[in-house]
Amino acid sequence: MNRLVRVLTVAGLLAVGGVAIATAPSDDTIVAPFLVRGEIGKPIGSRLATVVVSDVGVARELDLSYAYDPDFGEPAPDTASAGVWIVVSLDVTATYTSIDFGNAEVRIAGVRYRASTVLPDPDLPTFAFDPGVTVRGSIVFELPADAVRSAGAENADLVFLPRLVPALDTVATVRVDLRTLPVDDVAVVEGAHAVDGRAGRDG
Amino acid sequence: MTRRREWLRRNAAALATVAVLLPATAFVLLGLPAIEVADSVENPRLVSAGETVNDQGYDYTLTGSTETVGRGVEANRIPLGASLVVARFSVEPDGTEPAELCDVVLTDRSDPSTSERTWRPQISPGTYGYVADLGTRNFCNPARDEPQTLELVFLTPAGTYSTATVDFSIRGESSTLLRFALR
Repeated sequence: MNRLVRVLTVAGLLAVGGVAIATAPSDDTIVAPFLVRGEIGKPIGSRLATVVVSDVGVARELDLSYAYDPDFGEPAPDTASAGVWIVVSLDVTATYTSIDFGNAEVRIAGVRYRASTVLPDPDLPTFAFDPGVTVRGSIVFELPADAVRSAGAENADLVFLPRLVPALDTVATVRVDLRTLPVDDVAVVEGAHAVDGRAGRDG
Repeated sequence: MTRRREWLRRNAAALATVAVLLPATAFVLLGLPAIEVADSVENPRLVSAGETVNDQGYDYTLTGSTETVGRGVEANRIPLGASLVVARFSVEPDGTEPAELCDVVLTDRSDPSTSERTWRPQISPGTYGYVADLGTRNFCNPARDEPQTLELVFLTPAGTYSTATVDFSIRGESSTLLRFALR
């Protein structure tokens, strides 16, 4: 009888442990940053930075003339995509310390697309934003063509994550309906550049 | 039951040693360095402009600093409302064991109601029309056992220069924070 109780106790504990492990959130989930949602054209304040997304477009090719001048014999590389480009134009003002948006991503129905590294210097994803100084530029994402028309694309999230993803911090996010955006032939990309130092202490 | 007691009695000294040594080791390896870093942040060494301070293998001297106020990207490539702050340092080895790590930022704590703000040196100051002297560095590197001239360029909101300091966080035998007043 004693042995049976012991066996049942051990089996019960193992079962409870298994359920706990199977249902426990991952370490990444436990310390994931909080998303602060906002709209296009309005300031979105997170602890790290204030973001204003001025425009979101979809195109088959990128105009990178900010970095290549044909008059000086610098032909721009071919950026025609087999899919599409999502081009996001924004202003960023860091709040307390220099940051970047090296891990910015588009999330569609649980699928995450990282910012493309196709942009030549000075590009926004690798640009360091200094506190109190507003920087303007573009971030681009290359997606499969059908992704912007897929279920869930009407609630796509643009998440502006720094290269060092902050644990339990706030991160600016904009929800966009990609399904309603027209697919243009070419979208002009703006290189990253500081535009204003009058943003004040709170960005 | 008796066997268990017997085992505990025979190994009591060893168990007690482990019980003391484990937390003591953790304290020495993790706790003490953390306390030292926290102490260096709370008690930085304040250094006036022109004064030389010695720390962990190097003599540090702020040899000069300037502020260039932005007149707009078209006028001087610095945005309106921003300033380009340049701080020059002489860093000379003193022949002793150098530190292992060094990090440098511009810091402003002028508003006590909010957290301090920090700026990292510009990697490409030429973006804002500034040409650094040949042979200068825009970061501190304690691993190089040779005299160094640092030319640190920061893009800040206008007005930051008058209250900001340049902070060197140095880690080696100990952790120290050298805080240089720009003016």
